[in-house]
Amino acid sequence: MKLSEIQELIKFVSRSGVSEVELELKDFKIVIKTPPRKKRGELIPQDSDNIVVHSTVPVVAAPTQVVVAPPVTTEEPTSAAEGQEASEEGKDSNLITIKAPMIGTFYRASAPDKPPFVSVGDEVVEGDVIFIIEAMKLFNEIESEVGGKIVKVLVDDASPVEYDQPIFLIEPH
Amino acid sequence: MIKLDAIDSTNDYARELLINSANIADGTVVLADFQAKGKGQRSKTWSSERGLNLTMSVILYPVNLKVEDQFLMTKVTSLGVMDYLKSIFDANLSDQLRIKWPNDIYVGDNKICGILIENNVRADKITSCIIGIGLNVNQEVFPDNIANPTSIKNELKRSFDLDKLRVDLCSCVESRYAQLHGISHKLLNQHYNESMYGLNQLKKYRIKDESIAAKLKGVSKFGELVLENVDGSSIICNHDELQYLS
Repeated sequence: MKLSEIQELIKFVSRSGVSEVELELKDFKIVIKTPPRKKRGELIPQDSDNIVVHSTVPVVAAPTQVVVAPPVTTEEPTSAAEGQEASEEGKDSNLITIKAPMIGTFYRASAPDKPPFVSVGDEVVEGDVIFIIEAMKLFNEIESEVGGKIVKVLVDDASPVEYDQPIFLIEPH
Repeated sequence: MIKLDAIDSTNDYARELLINSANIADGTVVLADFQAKGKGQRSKTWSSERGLNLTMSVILYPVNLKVEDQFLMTKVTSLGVMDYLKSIFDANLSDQLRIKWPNDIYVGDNKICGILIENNVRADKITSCIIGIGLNVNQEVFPDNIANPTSIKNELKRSFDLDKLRVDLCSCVESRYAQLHGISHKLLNQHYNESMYGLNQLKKYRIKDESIAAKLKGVSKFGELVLENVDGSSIICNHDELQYLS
């Protein structure tokens, strides 16, 4: 499901007066809740054959229920969607995704006042240091296993990264 | 061994060596009388008066060390420094030696040594490792901006020959390095944990934005700090999340 579709769905649910919509696809589930209202709204339309929408309309809204300002999604689609796009882009054009070999803090330069090891458009050869991951005060200079051109930087400097998190996209030679 | 009068940082020099020269031997030591830009963590600096202290970097090529096991290098180095200091301290002073997690060496509440380790990583293996050690030896007076420093001379009231000290310290680190390649890392793990500053004591820590009282229990396999809450539950944290308060 695309980000724009999710946004459309949220808008629609918000206007429709439905208090909660739960949508489950093959590997994707989204729950949209709106503040309780008195009137029942219509169910959202089935805009695709393979989309099943379960909507539950509470009989009585419990008074203690937390009222959330306009619709809130329980999933945070932005970062997941970006990651997905990145790897799809990788597949489509033979780009190689460079991933974090460990958990830690990602740094693009050897020190805060130094230029980054690599930037978009730079050519790297195998063995070049391309970024640092720091964990428990151990500084790890990560060497590239491929040669090619840096196409995209996917992580901000000085942010935490997980094991296997995509860091760069490289167009191999 | 490479001895220099004054350079920016022995770790930086060691890294330049690795980049620019093909065959740097395992155990190469880069030594400086004076470091203009001694490195601490990221932008923090390590200051040391000319000719009084030991500032050196050792280049090592650990065999088959996985990146997930990298904290073993911290254990090797800090225990090597501890072993050396125990060899010159009496029993009373030795009892006060502690490793303040992750890699500072303390005598009581005062810092005597800082360690900075930089690895090169290819795929999931550590291909080379630069161990930077800054040990306060003969310096007696420190700038005000250094919180709680001490030196060997401040503790023992006598000066040490830096060349002899370096040789003895390197052999202590080497013995611990040998344990890295042994069949078990049990001794490294056990000795590191039991040497920790604040072990089993109820102390105050700040984790992210929350202050808590907890007991330090040791480190995880990956080197994260393990604390025990007063209710008995465990907290595991990274160094950038944690601050010592007392």
